[in-house]
Amino acid sequence: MNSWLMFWQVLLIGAFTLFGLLAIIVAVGGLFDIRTMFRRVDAQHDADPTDHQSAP
Amino acid sequence: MTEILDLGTNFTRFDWAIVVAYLVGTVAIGIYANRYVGNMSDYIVAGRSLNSRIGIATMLGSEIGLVTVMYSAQKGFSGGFAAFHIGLVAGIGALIVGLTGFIVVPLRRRGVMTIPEFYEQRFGRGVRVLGGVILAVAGILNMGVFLKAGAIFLTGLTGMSNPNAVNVVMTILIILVLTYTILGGMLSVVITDYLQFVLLSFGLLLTCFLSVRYLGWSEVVDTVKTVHGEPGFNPFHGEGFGPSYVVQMALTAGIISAAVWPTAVMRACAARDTLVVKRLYLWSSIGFMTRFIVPMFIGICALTFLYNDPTASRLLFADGRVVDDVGLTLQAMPVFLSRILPIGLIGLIGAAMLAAFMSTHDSYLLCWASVLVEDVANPVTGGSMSERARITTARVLIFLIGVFLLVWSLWYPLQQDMWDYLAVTAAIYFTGALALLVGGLYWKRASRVGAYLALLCGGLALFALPPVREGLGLTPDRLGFEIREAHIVLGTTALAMTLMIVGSLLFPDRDRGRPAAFPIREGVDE
Repeated sequence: MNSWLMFWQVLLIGAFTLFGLLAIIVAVGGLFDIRTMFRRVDAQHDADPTDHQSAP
Repeated sequence: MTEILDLGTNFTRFDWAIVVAYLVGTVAIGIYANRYVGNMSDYIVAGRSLNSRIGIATMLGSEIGLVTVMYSAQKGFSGGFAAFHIGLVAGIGALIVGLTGFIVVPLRRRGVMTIPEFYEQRFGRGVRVLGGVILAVAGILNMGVFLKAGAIFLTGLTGMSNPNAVNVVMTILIILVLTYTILGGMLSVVITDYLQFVLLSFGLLLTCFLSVRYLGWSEVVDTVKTVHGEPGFNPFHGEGFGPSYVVQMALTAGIISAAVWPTAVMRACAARDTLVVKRLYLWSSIGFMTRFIVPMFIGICALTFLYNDPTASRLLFADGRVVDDVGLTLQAMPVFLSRILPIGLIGLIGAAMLAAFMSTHDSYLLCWASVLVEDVANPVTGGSMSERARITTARVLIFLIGVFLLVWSLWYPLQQDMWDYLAVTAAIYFTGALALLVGGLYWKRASRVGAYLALLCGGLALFALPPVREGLGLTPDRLGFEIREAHIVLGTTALAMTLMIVGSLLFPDRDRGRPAAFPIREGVDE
């Protein structure tokens, strides 16, 4: 039981650390990605205006 | 009817204001994103423009839903630290998929928008239609308990004890989900998933910190030892989860969730290229692991808190063990949060959880509606549906599915354990899908007949549902032994693979001369 507890303790600490780092990276980097995403969609529409329909 | 855990709550009108402000803002984003909806590609896969960081956020934003948090917390409550094995195998499974590109890379390379689209490329239109129907039915049924989970969460967190009030709130929420899902398609999902991921991830971590500070680590460990004993730490213990359950989790929470479950695979289809796909899974493996472990730990903290509360312990524990009442044990985590989180923070957590609830709904609604349009309706009509007709049909289907979910989840009395229900409905789809994907992508001799047999085999997963087995008399009393759910799911998976192989060898495709190399779509590898 103690060996399992130690294993889960290490896993839990690792999970918290990794998840926290992931959250920070995604939170900051995701903002830049959203801006890029909308620029790309606009560029695709400009490149092929016939493929775009007006939203109802 | 399950009794309501009523211990009071810290949730105030200020917290309601936080929740409402967040939900209104989310709808506004969806409406704003509507002006970017153009063709079906835009609607479904954000114009294939997702980069890795936002791709990770949107994947995890959909996969870390309220239901996952509720179910995971319940598993932590009822299984102790041993439940962490589910998160561990989930992370390892996603890591393996990221390192090897198993299924997802060759799938992305083919440029398909959905898994059934691959079915047609590989096996023909008939397989696509059948596969699409099975996928959509299984997926929609799988969603059938989501609103129920949301209702239980709201009841526990806010102290609402009137069932009618909860039903009205659920109805309002499904309307909000339908509104921005119908209007924005994938683009609004990407943005709202990002916001929800950020809010929920920081909220859950903060909750864990507060829980340990309030309860103390030693008290948490001692409570698990007292209530669960050795099975609370050792997942292979026969009186706990057991070896077959661990293997089932390695399959379902591991490989299936990462490489076969459609919502995760759709995110891969939305990636810019195959390099981004692999990067997506490598980083997302952290999320796949932690989306289970973090809420499970909160569930363990809820166990500690409620075990020492006289009112709660009377309902939740019998002879020092957790009662076998799913409706009651699902309330444990939200009730625990309602007691330890301070005013303001409880509103933020509530907003984050409700946002997670909505992001999961909109992702799945979009997924199943697109399957029914692209993989059933359009192929059946010979591919003659116009772009506008497909988008309109998708929006109508989203609405109809939403109505079904509302009726099914709120007013239809579910009697099954929530995890059993999710596992069985998912298995109806993935047992066949895994065989088709593995066979179709990696074995040239996989044939149409093999595909049909493997798909139809998925129906056998229904026997994993206890009420079905009881109705057919397949009980331990009559058989003399117990058929465990894990055995049925694993057995059905193996049988589907076997039928794919045998069916393909016995009935090879006659037109094997057709090109085996499918056209690689633009932008696959840069």
